[in-house]
Amino acid sequence: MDHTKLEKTENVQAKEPNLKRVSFWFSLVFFLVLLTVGLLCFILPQETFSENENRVLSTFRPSDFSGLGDEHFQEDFESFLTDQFPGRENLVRLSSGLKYATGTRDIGGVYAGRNGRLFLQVTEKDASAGKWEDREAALNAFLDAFPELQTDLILVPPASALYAGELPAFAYTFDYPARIGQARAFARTKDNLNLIEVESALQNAKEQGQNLYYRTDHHWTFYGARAAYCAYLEQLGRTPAAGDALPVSEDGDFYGTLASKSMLPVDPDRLQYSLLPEGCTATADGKEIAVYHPERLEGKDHYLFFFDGNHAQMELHGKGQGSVLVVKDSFANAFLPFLLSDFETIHVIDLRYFSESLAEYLSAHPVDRVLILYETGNLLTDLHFTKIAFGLN
Amino acid sequence: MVFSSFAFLLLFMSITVLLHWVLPAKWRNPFLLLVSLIFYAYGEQIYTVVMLVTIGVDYLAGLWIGALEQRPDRQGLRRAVLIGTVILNLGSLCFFKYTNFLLQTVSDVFGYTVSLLKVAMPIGISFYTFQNLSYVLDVYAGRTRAQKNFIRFATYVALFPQLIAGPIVRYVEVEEQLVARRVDPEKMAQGIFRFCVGLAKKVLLANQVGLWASQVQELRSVQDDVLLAWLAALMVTFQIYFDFSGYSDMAIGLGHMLGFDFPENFHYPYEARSITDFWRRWHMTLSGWFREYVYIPLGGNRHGKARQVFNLFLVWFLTGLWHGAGWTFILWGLYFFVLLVLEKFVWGRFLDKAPAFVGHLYALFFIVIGWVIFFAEDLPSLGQWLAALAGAGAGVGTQGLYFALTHALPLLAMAVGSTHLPRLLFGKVKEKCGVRGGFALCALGTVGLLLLSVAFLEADTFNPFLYFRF
Repeated sequence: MDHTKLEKTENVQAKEPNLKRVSFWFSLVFFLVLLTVGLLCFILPQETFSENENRVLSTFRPSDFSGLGDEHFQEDFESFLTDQFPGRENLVRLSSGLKYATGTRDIGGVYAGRNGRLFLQVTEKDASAGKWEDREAALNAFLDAFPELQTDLILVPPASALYAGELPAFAYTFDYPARIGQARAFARTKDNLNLIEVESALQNAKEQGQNLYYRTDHHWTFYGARAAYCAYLEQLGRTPAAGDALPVSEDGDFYGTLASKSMLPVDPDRLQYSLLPEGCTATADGKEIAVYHPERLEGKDHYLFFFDGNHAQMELHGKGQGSVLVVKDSFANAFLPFLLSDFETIHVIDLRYFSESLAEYLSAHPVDRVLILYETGNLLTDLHFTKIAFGLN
Repeated sequence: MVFSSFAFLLLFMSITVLLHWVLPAKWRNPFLLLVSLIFYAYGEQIYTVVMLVTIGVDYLAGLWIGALEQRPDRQGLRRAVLIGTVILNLGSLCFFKYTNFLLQTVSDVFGYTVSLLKVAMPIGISFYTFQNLSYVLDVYAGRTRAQKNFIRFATYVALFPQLIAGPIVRYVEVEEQLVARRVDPEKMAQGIFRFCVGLAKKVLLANQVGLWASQVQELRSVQDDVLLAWLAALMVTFQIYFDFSGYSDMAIGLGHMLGFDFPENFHYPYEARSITDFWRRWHMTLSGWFREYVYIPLGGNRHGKARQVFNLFLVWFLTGLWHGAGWTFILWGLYFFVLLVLEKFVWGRFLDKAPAFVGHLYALFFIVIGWVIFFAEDLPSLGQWLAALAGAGAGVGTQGLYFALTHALPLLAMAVGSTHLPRLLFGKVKEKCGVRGGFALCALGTVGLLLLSVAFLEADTFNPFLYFRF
């Protein structure tokens, strides 16, 4: 089929001998450039960690060549080359930009919504009904083991529920109302479980013009956490002591996890925070830590401002009364500082890192009540929640 | 090693082509053989031995068959050597490719539990087995002479550009090039252009549309509707074309860089006006192989209609089976058998007289349904998919609209991209630019496509962890 093309090439060759020289240099430079880029992966200082991906990058030492012929060598060597490729992140940005320009609206598991708002893509398959039932069974075992202990459950609505209007047209997400309905039905069957629905409180706050979720990060903001905090305290029949707290400061240029995942060109967020109340102390896994970490505002992930990120176990000493155990995901990190004004002792357990039995922990640290706080999609996709029933039988 | 890996693009390809270029002609084949074996062993380790044994057996068989050619008294032995070699080749292919399929089928039918073998299929075995057979059969038929030089023969079989995904190059097509070939800068530049176009087809189009297809299939597993079913069908239709023809382009381009001219494998198959026409345009080296070594030796159409239909049946049963060990693949082959027989004996004449657009629509419809059969995981899911295409599923949901809306532009581009229009248009523009301007245009386009392909390959490996590392 390509005879016409070949003939053409031959004709051209006869007429224009110069093309031979151009071809020669083009070919030579082409391969030399490729080879140079390949060698640069070895020569340039190797990066060991990617902040945007929050993961260790593959590296390579000459001694690794001894693994040549190994089954895994091919895979390892390929990830070394891709991870150390010069200008790697800019290339990923280029690809994301092109994908967006040609119409794609889900890039790297992130929806690129309107008004520069990014959403974590959690589909019905990721968070289907069966997954709720697994978590319900574990929670049920926990509740039955502590019949006298009052447990509150806050399922933070996903950003896609509150900002549905900013999702890409027809974007699909998991069925949040259905899962909340299941949680509601379950809570009705348990005397010691109270489902605290915060969606309407968040909706009200949104209508007052507050931005409840970061545009570039999957977490909620000061305002989102504050609205849920107020709803929680009101459910307890208490007046939220920090209910009118205002952010004392705003910090700029926060490119959150969703910006990192999608690598789309977006405007940065600003992280609002308050430093109230003063003089509270905290320990994490036995070590003393500060509640607020302003130094983290200089780094990549500003959300680490709260408690320096996630810890398996924390104990916070606040200015209020009573004690509470919070079983949580990272959404609680922005939420917990508010509780410092209302509780004296706050135990915090993050089941993703906590490897002991929660039942034993509770026997050693009796509390007045328990709060389980998870973002709904997180709860349904995170396998560790079932650890809440560890050591119970 | 695959062409769309950085190990290949940055290191293997550049080092191989540059060294092959500067080496004296007599060192080129040994060098190519060596790097081809490295290329294969890098990913396949011990299975390289399987290929080497095959090469050895077929080399000796070729010599033997060739030597017996002048001995009228030994024709029986000559025939026996041929049959033995064919059985060995096909036996090895069947062992690695079909044993587990057979065991599974036996256990399904008779209700035994048979433990499956723990063998992986050596990559490319379907391709190089057919190449080897073409050689042995051609030597037997006197179409070519046995290759006495082992290095030359081994180079032909192991040649890395077409080793793992074709085109299926018949020995006679490269026989002369194995002896003497010129590494010509102009051909090399053409090869680079062709390679990058192929890479872009694979990485920018096939991989992307493949990802969307799997997303749509995932949605269909939760809730199926007619729009999702058709989107999935269209997406796999584009995926397989750009994937496979992209790989062939890369192979042909690499061939040019090394001074080879490999046969073309695709000729705008989605422009076909009938299924007969489609199979003249799709994976041409495979259909050519079956025609040459199965259909014609069986008598083709020379022994009456009944025999012809049987021959066609056998060819298409085997074609289906060649594509994979599974019932959907056999069904896929037989589906084309039925369509081809119907075109030959029933509606082919009307199709020829009908306006072109009727033929195109007819062919496209059956091609797409063909890919649905091909991509269906098993027979039950094939049934569901076909039913959904016919509208048996739920009403159209928003998910389908999401995909239709966000991917309309790329899908349209792929539809245009699978016709000859882009080439025609590019050719016109190139002509306007003059000879050197045209070259510059190609060079720029090539570099641009390569850069984007690399960017997309990087993006595929970009895996952020949201949470702290464990």
